[in-house]
Amino acid sequence: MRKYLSVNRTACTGCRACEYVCSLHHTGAFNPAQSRIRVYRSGCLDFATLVCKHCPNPICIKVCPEKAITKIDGLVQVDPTLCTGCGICVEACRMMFMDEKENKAVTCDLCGACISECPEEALKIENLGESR
Amino acid sequence: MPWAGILMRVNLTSQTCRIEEISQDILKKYIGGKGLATCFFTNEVSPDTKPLGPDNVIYMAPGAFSGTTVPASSRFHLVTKSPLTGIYLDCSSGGHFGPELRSCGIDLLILEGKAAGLTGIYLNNHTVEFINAEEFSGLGIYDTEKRAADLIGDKRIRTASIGGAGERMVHYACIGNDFSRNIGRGGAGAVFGSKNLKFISVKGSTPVVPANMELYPAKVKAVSQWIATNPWVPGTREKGTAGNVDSMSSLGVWPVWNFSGKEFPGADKINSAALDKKLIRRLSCANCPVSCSKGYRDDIYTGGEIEGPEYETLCLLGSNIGLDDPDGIAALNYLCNQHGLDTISAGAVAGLVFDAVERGLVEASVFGFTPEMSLISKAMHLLELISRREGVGEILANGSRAAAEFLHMEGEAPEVKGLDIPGYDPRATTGMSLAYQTSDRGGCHLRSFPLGREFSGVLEPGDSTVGKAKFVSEQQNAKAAQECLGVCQFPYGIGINHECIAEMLTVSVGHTYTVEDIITVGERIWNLSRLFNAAAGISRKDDYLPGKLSEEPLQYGPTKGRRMTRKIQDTMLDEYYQLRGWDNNGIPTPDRIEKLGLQKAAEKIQGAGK
Repeated sequence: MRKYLSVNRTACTGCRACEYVCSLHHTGAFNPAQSRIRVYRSGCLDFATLVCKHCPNPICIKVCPEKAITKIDGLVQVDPTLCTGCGICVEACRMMFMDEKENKAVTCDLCGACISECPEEALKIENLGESR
Repeated sequence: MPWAGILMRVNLTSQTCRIEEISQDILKKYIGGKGLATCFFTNEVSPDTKPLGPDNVIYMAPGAFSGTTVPASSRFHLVTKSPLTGIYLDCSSGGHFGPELRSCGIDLLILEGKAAGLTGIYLNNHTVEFINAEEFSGLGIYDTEKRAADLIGDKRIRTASIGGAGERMVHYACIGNDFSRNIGRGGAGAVFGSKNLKFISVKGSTPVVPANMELYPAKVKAVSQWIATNPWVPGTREKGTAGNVDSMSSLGVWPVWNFSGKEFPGADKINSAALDKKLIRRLSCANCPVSCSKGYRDDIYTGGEIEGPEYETLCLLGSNIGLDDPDGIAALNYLCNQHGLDTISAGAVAGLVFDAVERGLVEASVFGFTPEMSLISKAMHLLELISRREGVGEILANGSRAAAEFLHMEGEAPEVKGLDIPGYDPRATTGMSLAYQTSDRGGCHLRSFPLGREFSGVLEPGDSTVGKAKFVSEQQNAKAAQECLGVCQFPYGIGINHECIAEMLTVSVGHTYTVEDIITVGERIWNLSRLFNAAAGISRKDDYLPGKLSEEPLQYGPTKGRRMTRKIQDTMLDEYYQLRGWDNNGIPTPDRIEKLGLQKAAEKIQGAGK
């Protein structure tokens, strides 16, 4: 079984409400540079909303020199006390982000705060074990 | 709280920057966005400053709500002196640049001086890096954004930049951001160009915390629920601004063939239903639940992508030049986006050119037009000439007034104070005429928009002037107030129309506001800009429609036969000035200045203007 936050790319309009809600939920402030879900725009009509897929063989765990990233109960997690902010995991996987205020890697913890705030209803928790 | 109480002052001449405090008194009196930018502009820039000289200054400010989850709060404002009109210029843009500016932990960005060579700026929180941008010379806005992200090494920066038109100081050059969003009107892009400023990239990581976090969620919910009652939202969401094409065409409001007053048979080829067939994807500005933006790709002429075409572009670069090809309009829109040209002014100038050629006033060869060229080819060619100031483009780049003079069409340029009128013919309704006559930056539909109420009967229709001055002046105040907040008028309507907005502001900034308080801020801004414009030479004589739109009647639909005579315009101006507390020449009186607490500001402006 694998759970992750899935983004309906057809429905998403790139408003980034999820980023603001995520940062508020996790830090108590609006700060997309600390968000665990991020919209990347690469062209006029090209953008992608990225968030950790909690994949079966996370590259981030393999590349972390501090062993700060682990997968516990199906969730990829970063131990902030071990993370040095070196950025190797962020370079290895585009779904892993740097909290640019704290200089620590951050990843989606499936809290779900963004789901109800998405105006396009483009976000949901995908549960691969049950739905497929 | 969202007020950082800090401004960043960047000097391009010395390549230095300085953090300064903004007093709580100024923040309370001017809130943010348009208010804050106007306050500093009118205090620091002399009314006789040359718009394209090194002494002109650019003020950029996010709205008070920008960078939070208040719905549709993405907007930021830019205030400077316009090269197109020679007066006060305030522009705003949606997208994601405004919230990023807020995330830098500043309320205002000030750009002074002139760089020695083409320069970019990277603002990261409170640090500023100056970047040699000589290699960016001639790059389009889309390409500039991409290259700036590569150069800075961060795909999440937001960039506001100019294209070739801004570099060559075309008087209606715009500043693009998020590819297809623009600080569009009045030539702010030329002011960037005059400073050798190619782009500003911003990226912030400063936490934004509303003053009263406990009450914040409930107030956001109240605002969201109020927005949901706005009957216009579903249509805007479904059709975008292109939804106006059918209604404006059938009401006899839609300008066609250089504001000829005639009916355009091709409306159904470029309305929202026609555009919808080619929808690529919907897009939103930051934190907007409406998502009015429609992604479009012109597959025929340029391969270019745009958000739009918006209503004004469908009109000015469509019906106004007789073009009913949606891909053609999208192509022209894309070229304007890349080169950085205001589609409204570019369309007004193009409308004059095609009309002049049709009437035999000027030879087609002057513009390089040949008989084999299609209308779209000619229009694309014209935009290139203007963007490069090449040949006759050197004259056309100075705006519709200069173009009309060159084309032997004096009095025909569709402008007020030099700013070209958008897609609502002011002969159609008296209220719309007054809105254009009195807009702070020249002919603009975004300061007051009485047209809908006039056609629906809320305000008296036809030639009646009853209640128009009251409506327009009050809506101008309320809209100026709204533009301090960074919210979009599509979901909110025009102005501060509900107490939930005042409560939202109160919990956001921690200073108590009522609706009346905020609207007073709007009136204060409106008087400040008028004081500035008056000192720059503006008075009653400038508050009129051009001769053509006063004298020549509309020729189709429900508005057939209507003109906006000088007498009608005068009747409304008399009442408008009286309601505003301005004298008969349109100058704010000492009484009104005192009532708004603007004595010192007025002395400064009037002293500087002498």
